Amino acid sequence: MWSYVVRRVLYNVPIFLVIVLILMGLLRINDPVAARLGKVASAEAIAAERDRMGLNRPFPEQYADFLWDFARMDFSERSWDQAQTVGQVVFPSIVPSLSITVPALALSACVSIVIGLIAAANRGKLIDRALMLGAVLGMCVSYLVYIILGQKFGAFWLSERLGTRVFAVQGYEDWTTWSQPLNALRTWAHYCLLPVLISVVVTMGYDTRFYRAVIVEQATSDYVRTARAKGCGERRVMFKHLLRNAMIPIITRIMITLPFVVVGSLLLEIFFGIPGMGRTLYNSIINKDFPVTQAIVALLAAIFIASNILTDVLYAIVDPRVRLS
Amino acid sequence: MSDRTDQSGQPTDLLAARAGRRPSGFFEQPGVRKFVRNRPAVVALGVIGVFLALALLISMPGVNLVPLERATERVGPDAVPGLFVRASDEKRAAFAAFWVRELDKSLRASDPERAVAALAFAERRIAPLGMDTLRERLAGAQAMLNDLDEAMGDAEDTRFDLEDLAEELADGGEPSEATQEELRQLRGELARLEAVVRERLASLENTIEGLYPTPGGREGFVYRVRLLAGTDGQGRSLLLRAVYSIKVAVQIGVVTALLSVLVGTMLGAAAGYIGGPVDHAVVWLYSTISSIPYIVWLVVVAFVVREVDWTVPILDKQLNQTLFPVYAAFVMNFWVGPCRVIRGEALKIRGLDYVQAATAVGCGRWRVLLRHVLPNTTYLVFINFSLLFVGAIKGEVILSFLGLGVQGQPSWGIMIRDSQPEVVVGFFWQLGIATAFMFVLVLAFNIVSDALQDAFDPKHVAGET
Repeated sequence: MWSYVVRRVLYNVPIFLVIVLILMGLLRINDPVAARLGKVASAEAIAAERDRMGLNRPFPEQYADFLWDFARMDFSERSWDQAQTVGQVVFPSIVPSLSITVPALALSACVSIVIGLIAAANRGKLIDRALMLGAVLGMCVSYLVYIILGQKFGAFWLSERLGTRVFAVQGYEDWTTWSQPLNALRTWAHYCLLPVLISVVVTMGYDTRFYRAVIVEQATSDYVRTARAKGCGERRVMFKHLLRNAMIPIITRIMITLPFVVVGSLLLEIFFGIPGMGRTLYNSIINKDFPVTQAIVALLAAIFIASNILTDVLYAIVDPRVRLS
Repeated sequence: MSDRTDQSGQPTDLLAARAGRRPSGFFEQPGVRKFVRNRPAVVALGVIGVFLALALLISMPGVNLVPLERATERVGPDAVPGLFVRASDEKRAAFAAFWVRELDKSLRASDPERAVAALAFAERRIAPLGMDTLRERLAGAQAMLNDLDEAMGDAEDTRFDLEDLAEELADGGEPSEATQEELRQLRGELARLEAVVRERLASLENTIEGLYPTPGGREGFVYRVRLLAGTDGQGRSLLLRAVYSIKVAVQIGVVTALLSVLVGTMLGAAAGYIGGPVDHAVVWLYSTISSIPYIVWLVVVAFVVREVDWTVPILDKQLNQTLFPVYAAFVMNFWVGPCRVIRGEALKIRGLDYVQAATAVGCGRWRVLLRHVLPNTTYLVFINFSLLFVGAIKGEVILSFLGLGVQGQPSWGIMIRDSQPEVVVGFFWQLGIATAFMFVLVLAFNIVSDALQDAFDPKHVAGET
């Protein structure tokens, strides 16, 4: 297995290199220095600033430098915008991001699989049709509409009704204190639960349709008929035979969405003012703080590649037929 | 099995087969037949057709159904509710204040004659009354507005008093005779004040109707259509903005979906059919693109292209005033989907007998690719086009929210973005109409892509991608 992992890593190295190359190239199409200093800046000032940013070096050197730093996990490069290193900007944004994405991913997977199972078990019946119609209708509304209505009814309207503020309208507070777990949970729920719920509702349409499709496909296969024929109970067929075989596409689905969810909550983070990776990335692009942009994108690419390899390893664990070679 | 039979009771298909004819017409193909039998899909196709026709009518220079100026001009006060729903008293007072303020502004202008003559909100113009009459009536209206404000303030105060008293009563058990009496008095007072407010509001609105007469006849009809869905935060017609946005959405959808499908199909078919190093290169290219969350490329590309300082020659516009940044961002991401699917299909087709037969009778590589491989991926092309169209429309909302989307014209994304502060204060018309338009179009495309998949790929179960 390890030889497989090593080979996969080596195969993905060029992909990673090209991602960084494309990104660094794209970011340098428009001169970032002139744009930062404005039209009135003198030529000397621009030259000095360019020198400070390290942009006067040849592009291959900048590229190699960035890769070398990244390979050593050295994030001590100065951010252009703030008097901080890239690491100081990027690392504090990881926890806020995770406190939305991890619960959102887990919750939406659980809810969607259950609904998918219900729909698939009642295939063709009214309940299945109603659920799938709901899923299709839900998919036709923009993400942003869910966010706006979620904030209106979850934060403003609910607070008015109950007299106390259950969910924050906006903002974030560090909730990770282990001394008072209950308090920490309450702080988390106050700021993060509403975005999590919105994200679950948005992804539910796509996910339930997908899980239903997977389960229906399995349910019509021969081994299920055999299991029924030898007298398995419906529940046993469902959980012991069907769900186990459906695990492969389900794992793929979850693992594929994993890195996307990290930044998939970009909209939520910007809208609710949560200082996560998505918002940091967006701000760094808008403010032309390219060291930060590069670091985040390179990190995301690395996470994606790692999660891809992990998916394959998980296949081998879940499905004894899969041999990694 | 066909349920259509000829006079002898035999299935027509069978007869055709016996005669050595295979079903050749477009509508005779089994997939097309299955699609046409799917009623919702046919209706959805019709809806898409209507949207496309509207987009054409809006953008054709000769017709110009909704010119851009019409979608961006002020037609009345801010945030008027649609469907002629009666607004709350406060809002009606604010609308009245708007009309009064506009007249006041014009009369105070350096050249009042001309400013007043130009005072028009689409078809609703100032009455031709002469400057002195106007000044006089304006003074009257302002006085009425003040009286109205006063009455409304009094009513508000009474309402607060009443609430306080109600709270006191809720706290302290059995109410005494005196409090009961006070309560009754306050209620009477409030009812009286509310009647005063209503009366003053009605007479103020009457005065304003005299200053700005609602046009009659055809003009009046057009004006009412403008106000059918209310106005946005800048007094612009929401209906016209939403209708104009059809053009923007269709433009973005068609251009990005077409380009992405074109690039994806060519690369995918080439990779799957030719194989070897071409295949490796293509797979590696799309792995690169899809190794990063799509929204990152979207934001980076849209941002970079927007900043390029270049005037597009034919349109004579700065690049960032056109839709090119949006197209670039979408196409960069979207070609991957069709490429992946069509590569897989081409790989499968390559090994089929008829392709080998074609090669065996001496067809060249290009001929096999164009005549035998590509036509059999047509349904995938259509499905992907429809999926990407939806993706583009939804992506536009996200880009517009981030300030990287459509510039200088309305779009559903911009309307949804602008509606956020309105929704917070309870005005849902802008969000509602933009979402409704988008919902219908996206739903139609979703139904069509599901039906296409059902008809041409029987093993497929809806929802799998």
